[in-house]
Amino acid sequence: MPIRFEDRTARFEGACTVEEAIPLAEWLCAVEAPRLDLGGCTALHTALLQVLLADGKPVAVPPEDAFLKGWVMPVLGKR
Amino acid sequence: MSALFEQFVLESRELLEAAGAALLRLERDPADKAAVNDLFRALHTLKGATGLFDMAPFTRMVHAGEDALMAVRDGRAAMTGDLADRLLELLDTSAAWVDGLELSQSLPDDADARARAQEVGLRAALGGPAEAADGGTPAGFAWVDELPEADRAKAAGRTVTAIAYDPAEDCFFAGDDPLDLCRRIPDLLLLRIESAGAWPPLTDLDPYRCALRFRALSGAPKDELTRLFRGVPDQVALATVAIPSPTAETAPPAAPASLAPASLATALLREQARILGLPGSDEETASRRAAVLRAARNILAAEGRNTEGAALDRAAEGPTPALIRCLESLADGPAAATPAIPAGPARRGLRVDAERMDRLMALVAELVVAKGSLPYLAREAQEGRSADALAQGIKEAHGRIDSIVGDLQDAVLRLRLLPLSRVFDPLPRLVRDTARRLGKPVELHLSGGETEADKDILDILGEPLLHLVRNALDHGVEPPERRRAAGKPEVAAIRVQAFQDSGGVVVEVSDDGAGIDAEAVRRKAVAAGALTAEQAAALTESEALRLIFLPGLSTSATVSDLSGRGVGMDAVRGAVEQAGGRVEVASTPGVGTRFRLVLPLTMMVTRLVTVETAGALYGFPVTLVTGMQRVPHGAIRRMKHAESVVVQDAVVPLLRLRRLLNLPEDERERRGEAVLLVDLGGQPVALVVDAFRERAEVVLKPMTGLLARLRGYAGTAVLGDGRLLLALNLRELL
Repeated sequence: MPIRFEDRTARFEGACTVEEAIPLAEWLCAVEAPRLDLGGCTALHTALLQVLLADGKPVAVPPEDAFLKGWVMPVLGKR
Repeated sequence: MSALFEQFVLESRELLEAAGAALLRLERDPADKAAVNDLFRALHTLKGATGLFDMAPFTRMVHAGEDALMAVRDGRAAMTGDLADRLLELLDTSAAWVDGLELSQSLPDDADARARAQEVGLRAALGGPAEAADGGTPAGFAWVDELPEADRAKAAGRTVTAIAYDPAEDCFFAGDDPLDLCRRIPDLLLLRIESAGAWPPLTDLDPYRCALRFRALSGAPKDELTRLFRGVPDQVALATVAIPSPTAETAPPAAPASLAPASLATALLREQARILGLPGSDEETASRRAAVLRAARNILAAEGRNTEGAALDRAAEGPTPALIRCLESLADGPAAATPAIPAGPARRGLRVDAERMDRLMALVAELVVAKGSLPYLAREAQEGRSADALAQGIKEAHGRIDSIVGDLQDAVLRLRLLPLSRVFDPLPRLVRDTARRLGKPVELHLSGGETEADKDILDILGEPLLHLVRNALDHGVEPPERRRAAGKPEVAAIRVQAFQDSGGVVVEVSDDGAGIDAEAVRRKAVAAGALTAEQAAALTESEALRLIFLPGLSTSATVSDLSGRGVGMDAVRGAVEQAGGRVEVASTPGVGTRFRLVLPLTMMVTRLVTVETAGALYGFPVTLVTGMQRVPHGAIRRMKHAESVVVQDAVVPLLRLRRLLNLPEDERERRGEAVLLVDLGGQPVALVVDAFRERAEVVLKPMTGLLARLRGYAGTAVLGDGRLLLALNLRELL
C-alpha cells in the first residue's frame, strides 16, 4: 500500500502509482486540515502530483528522494 | 492605440477572412491553384504585418503556416483534411489573438506555447519529422532564453539539449508517467513543471487527464534523449541550444504593457475571496456569499472573461473553501487555456463609400442654406408682417428643411448599410466543421449576400443565423443512411437566402431534412407544463410549430453538444424581436423546415402602435401587433382572476395594461374595451388599453443608467408634439 491514509495523515511510501490518484483526491476533499507526509516516497506518479498541485495544501514532511526534493518540491511549495 | 496598430487589427481581420475562404475552397478542390496562391498571399501579408510589431510568436506561427502551404504549392505535400483542420486552427488562433490585441495590445501569456504547438501540429500534418529549425534559439524554445539567471546557472556556458515535453491529456491511459520519464533524463540540469491552465477546485479535477507540461535542460546529447522519449515523439520537442555564460549580457524580457487594468480586477477578486473567509453566522455567510458571487460575476463580465464564469458557477455549488480557491485562481489572471474573449462582438471599423460621404456633405450644405431663411422670417415678424404671410413663410421654410432632413436621415442610414455577406461569411466554415463532425454530407447554398441591412441589425442577426444553420445540420438533416432509405439525395442541402421585402430584410434558412414533427412538439410542450393537453390539441399545425420558440423546448429528443439544450430557438426569437423583427417557421415532415427572419431595415427608426392608458402614451412595435378590436364587456369571459376573449375562433388570454403597470383601475363608464392583439412568438395575447392612438415612427432611445434595469421598457421616444412615449417590452412585463 503505497499511500496509507491514517486519520488526518496521508503517508506516502515507496513508489506511489496512478491507482492512488482518485482515493487521494477523495481523501483530500473529505478530511479537514489534512497532513501530507511524503518522507518515504521514492516515486510519485504524475497524476498524484496533479492532485497535490490542484489541492495546494502544504507538504508537512518533504520527500527524501533527491529527484523529488530537488525538482518537484519547489513546485509544490509555490502553491 | 496608434493609427498603425489600428490599421493592423483591421487589415489582419480581413486577411484572416480571405484566408479562411480560400482554405475552404482549397479543401473542396485540392487542385485549386488559385486558392493556394490566395491563401499563401494572405498569410504572407499577415506575417509581414505582424513583423511590424513586437509579437514574435504570432509571426512564427503564421510563418509555419506559410511553410506548410509552400510545401503544398511545390507538390511536396498533399492538401489533406487533417492539414486543413490544422490551418483552420491556426487561423482561429490568429483571429483570437487579433481580438486580444485590439483589447489589450498584447498577446496572451501562452502565445509562445501555442505557436509552438501549431508548428508541431503542422509539421505532423505534413508528415515531416518533429524537428525544430536550425539557427539561433530554435522556434518554440524561447523559454530557454527567458529562464531566470538562477535556473540557468548550472547550464551556463554549456551546449545543452532543451526538452519541451507536453504530454497528451490521455497519456496516463497509455501507461505513460511523464514525471517518471523526466526522472530518467540523464544529466538533468533543470526541470520546470508547469500546469497547462489554472487548477480547478479539487472536486472538479479529473486526475486521469494530464494537465502538466515539462521544460527541461539536459547535458546529454540530443540523440540520447530522442531514444529516451522514443515512446512519445509527438509530445516532445528537443533542441540543442547554447546557454551563454552569466557574463554575457541578456536583456530582461519586457513586461507586458497591459497589466494595469487586470491588477484592479485581481485586487477586487482577492477582496471577494477575503470577504468570504470572514467569520459570521450562517445567515451572514449565506448573504455574503450571494453578494460575493454577484460581484465576482460582474468583475469577470467587465473584464470580458465571461468564459470563466462557468468555473465560478461550478465552484459556487461546492463548499466555501473551494469557492475561495476558485476566486483566488481567478484573481491570478485569465486562465491560460482560454484566451480572454472580449464581451460582445468585436467592434469593426466601418468602411464608407466615398460617394455616400459626398452625398452627406451636399445635404449638409443644403441644410445650411435652408437655415438661413429663419433669421429673415424672425425679422419680418418683428417688423409686424401679417400673420398670414408669416405663416406662409414658416411653412415654406419647414417644407424645405423637412425634405432635407428626410434625405439626410436616408443618407445616414445608407452610410450604415452593409451587405449581409458579412454575416454569411462564417457560415461555410461552420457547415464544413459541423458536417465533418456529424458525418452528414451537406451542401450549403448562399444567396442574396449583397442585400444590405443596417450595421446594428447585422450585429444582431449573426448569432441567430449561426444557430439556425447549426440547428438545421444537427436536428434537421438526417444521417446519410436515413436519407438513402427515404429516397433522398445523400448530400443534404441547406439554403440561406436573403432578400429585401417591403421595408425590411428577410433571411430564410431552409433544409431538406426530416422536418419538425408538430405532434412531438405538442407532447413536449405539454410535458414541460407550458400548456394543457386540451390546449395543445386545439392548436393548428403552424401554431404547434411555433411552440418551439418557448423557453426550454427543444425539438430533438437527444441533447447534443452542438445545438445546446433547447434554449436556442428561444434565444433566436429573443434576439430577432429585440431588433424589432419576428421569426416564422414552416415545416413539412419528411420534406424539410424553413425558418424566416423578418427584420426591419434599420433600428434607428422604429414603427410603433401607440395607445393611451391612464393619461400616458405607450408604444408597441408594429411587428408584434396583429390587430385592434373593440370588445363588448359581455364577450370577456372570467375564470377566477384570469380573463379571456375569443378572437377568430381561438381563446386568447386577456390582460389589462393598467394592471400590468400597477396603475389604478379605470372607473369610467365604457361600452366596451379597446383590445390590442399582440403575438408574442406564437402566443397570442389580448391587451386592454384605454384608447388607441395613431402609429408613429420614432427614434427609440434605450433606457440608460439605473433605468436600464427596468426591463419592462424598451425605451423612450419624443413625439412630434413634444410628448414623451414609453415603448413597452411586453414579454418582460408578463
